[in-house]
Amino acid sequence: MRSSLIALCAVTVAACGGGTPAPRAADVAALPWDSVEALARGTTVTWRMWRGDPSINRYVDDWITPRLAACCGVTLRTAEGQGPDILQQLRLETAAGAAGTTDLAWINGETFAALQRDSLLGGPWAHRLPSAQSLDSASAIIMRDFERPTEGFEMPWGRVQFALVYDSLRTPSPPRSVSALAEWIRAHPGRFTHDQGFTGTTFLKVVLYALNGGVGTFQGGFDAATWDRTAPRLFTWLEALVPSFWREGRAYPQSVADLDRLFANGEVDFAMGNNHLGVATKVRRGTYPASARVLMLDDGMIANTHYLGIPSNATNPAGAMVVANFLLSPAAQYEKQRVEVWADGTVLDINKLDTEWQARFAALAADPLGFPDSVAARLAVPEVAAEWHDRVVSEWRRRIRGRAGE
Amino acid sequence: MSERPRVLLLAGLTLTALLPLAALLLAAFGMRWFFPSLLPEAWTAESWRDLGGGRLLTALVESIGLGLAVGVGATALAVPIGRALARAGGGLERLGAAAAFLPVAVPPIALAAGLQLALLRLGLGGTRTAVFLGHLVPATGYLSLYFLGVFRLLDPDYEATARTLGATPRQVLQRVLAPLLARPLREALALGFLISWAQVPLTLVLGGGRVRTLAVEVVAYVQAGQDRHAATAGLLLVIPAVLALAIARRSADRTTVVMT
Amino acid sequence: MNRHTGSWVAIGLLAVAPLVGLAWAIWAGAGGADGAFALATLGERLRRPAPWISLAWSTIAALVATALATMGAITIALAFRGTRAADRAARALATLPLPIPPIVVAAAAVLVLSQSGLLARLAATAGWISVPAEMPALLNVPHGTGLILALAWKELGFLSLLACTVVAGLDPELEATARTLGASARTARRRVLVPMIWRGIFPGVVAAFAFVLGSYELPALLGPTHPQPLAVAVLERARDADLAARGDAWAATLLLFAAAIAAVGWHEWSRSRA
Repeated sequence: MRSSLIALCAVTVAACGGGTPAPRAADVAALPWDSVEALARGTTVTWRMWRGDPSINRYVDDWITPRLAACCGVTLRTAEGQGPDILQQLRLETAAGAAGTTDLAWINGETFAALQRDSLLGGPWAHRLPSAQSLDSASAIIMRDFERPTEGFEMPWGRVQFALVYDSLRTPSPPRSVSALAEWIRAHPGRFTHDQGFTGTTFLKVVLYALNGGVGTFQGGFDAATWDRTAPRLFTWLEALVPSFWREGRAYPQSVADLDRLFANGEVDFAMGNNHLGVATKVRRGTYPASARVLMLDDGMIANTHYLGIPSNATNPAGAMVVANFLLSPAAQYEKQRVEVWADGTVLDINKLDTEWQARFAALAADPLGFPDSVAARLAVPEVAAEWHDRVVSEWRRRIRGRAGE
Repeated sequence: MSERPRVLLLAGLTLTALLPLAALLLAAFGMRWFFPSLLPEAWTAESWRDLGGGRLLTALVESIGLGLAVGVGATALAVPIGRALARAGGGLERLGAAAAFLPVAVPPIALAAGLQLALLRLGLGGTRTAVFLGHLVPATGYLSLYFLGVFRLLDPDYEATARTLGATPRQVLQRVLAPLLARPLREALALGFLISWAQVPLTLVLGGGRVRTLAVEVVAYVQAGQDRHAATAGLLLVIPAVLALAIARRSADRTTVVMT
Repeated sequence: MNRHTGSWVAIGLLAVAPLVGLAWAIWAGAGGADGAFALATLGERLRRPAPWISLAWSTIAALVATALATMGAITIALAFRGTRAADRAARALATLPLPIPPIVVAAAAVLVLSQSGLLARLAATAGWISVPAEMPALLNVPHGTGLILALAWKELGFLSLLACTVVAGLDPELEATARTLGASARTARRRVLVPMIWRGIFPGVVAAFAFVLGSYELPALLGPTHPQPLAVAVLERARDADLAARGDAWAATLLLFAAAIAAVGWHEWSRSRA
């Protein structure tokens, strides 16, 4: 208690004294929770996040923001920025010794690894949140971000699983494994492609695992010898197959949004996405035709979690923790998972909640497109160290994209 | 020129204006608009309701405010710059013209990173002021060229004669310069507004994601495949811009001086 | 105080931002941002072929688009110089793209020109094609046709405004004199009017060329996957997870600066001739 009082004094002095640095997340986290809430009351939190999806924006702007103001007296402001932008912004701010412009950031995977490498995240703090009691802390997919233990430097926020998308009218019996997909692509030239972004890379990793005896080969950190042994299988597979891709593999959609457009208009027969539950949302919105369905390959589909971090130069870590705590509450997690809202999976262990919330989450579980939850869970494959991801990106750019047109 | 090619040309021009407009309107109101259908399966005003909800409206206000500020700020800088360079003449004037052309020719994506670090060091990272200063760079370059042209045509003897006849510098400004510059000033404000209005890379980088103009919202929606919202915000971007141009065009004959 | 002080202040104000940008590009391109500044790093980065291929592709695309837009602008300015409704309508339509932001031009181009876009659907309605693949690919292709058309349309707005203004200011006696001296209407146009318009709009043509060469939004949406347009390559490297690759971006930025300075030189040379 005494130490926390000292910490509170330190934090308060730092927060009020002009010119002195802002309180650090780790110091704030040492305080009792009601002190954190008291510090946060009446402050503004800037949350840097991806702002491209109107459904997510509506959830944040219309559902979260007013409730946060009402419950905790915190004003939530959003700022646009995804992984690479956040990294660049924080690096520059730190280099310039400037005050932070971000209190809370939506991050995961390679961004988390890069931010930790440069000590750009504050913490540990996430384990101190009252809501964190209900986290699904047994799940490696949730508690380890691309195999890196989160160790309280980021808070799990949502869980998704990669899936392909097909049109049940156009392709009544789709391929259900990586090898069957290769056969299908050869038999239907020009009808398959993947995007150049994160989603497309996830697809390439699914293939990489499948061709090399599963994800186990890649677990336990990056290993150059394993990469030299396994990567050629992926790239020879691709080199043999890309002539049968859309535009003979000479062009690739810039983003998964472009791939969605190709799929919806019948230019290709498959789309893909990082959130299999989101397919129903895209059907509702009219991005996909009503006959679009989720497809999971038997080789295993990568599941991954997205997180919230507090930058080390954040000016309002107490406010950021209060926001994070609210976002992890059963009510906020439930709202987020509804298909009509966002369809983003919860990171809570339902069994740790009271019976009322258990019943409500159970009622959500049924996928409206008839994809059984148990199958998705059985096929879920965890992410591996971020360096594998980065290697796939750079090697693909060099060997596959670079050969286009030659 | 005979009539037939003129008719063909006019028809072609009409198509280049109508096709993009029709596509944007269909995308903004359409739902499930897939090949080969010319018209969507269903219609919705969902994205327009979001406009009332605040996000696009806030961005619209942000864009208009920034555009006006940049128009005024760049004009205020460009008038004395253009005048000083036009009076200097000779090699100095040529050097000045080259210096004014530089911020016009250097792509914003090349400028953005360096300016970002400089503005962060000044404690302006991610602020509206930073975005304003960033937009001023191309706008001031462009308008300085413009006013260099204006003042080159403007006989400096006007001012000297007025002074000889006993006018104070203030009277020279009020009675001689202001009427002569009224039209160029109006055009300059509109052009400065337009340069800010369409700017994306400088806003994204210098605004640090916190300054959300309409153009930046369109980029976010396009990247996310939200065609309906992208088209809606796109239409909102086009309408005031066309109006601003119409204002500038009311004295189109003056625009020659822009680049000569 | 020197009477040229004002001019020097003006020049300083104009040049400061580009110089800051240039200094950053050299510093970060040489590894300064990663704490290992060495000019040799910069030299090594600039010896790689990739950014030069991107520069070459982008330059050719910008040149072709600018040439198309210039020809279009001169043709329109000459064909519609009257005061009738059709003349005024044509001039207004030609200048329409000037105020439309590039990102909107790009988004509209995707909706119109893609293989399942509005043009393809019109073709399908007419029965000329049945699936998108039968529609010629205009976007994201190495020949860049769709990108060049969109860039040219965007430039047409600016260049036709300039060309129409030049035509409006031409002495009507000129053409009449040429005709009196025995030139046909066609010859008078080609030998007298077109060169005069060309001289009048040339600095604008250079400015438009510099603008499209460095623009990002259109190539990002409409450009080919390979070779990458220079502006797209710069931004992709700048966002790379590998920090060393980010340095490549700043080195490639120097090529953009060089292209801009070349355009400035071209502009000044054309002015000094005029």
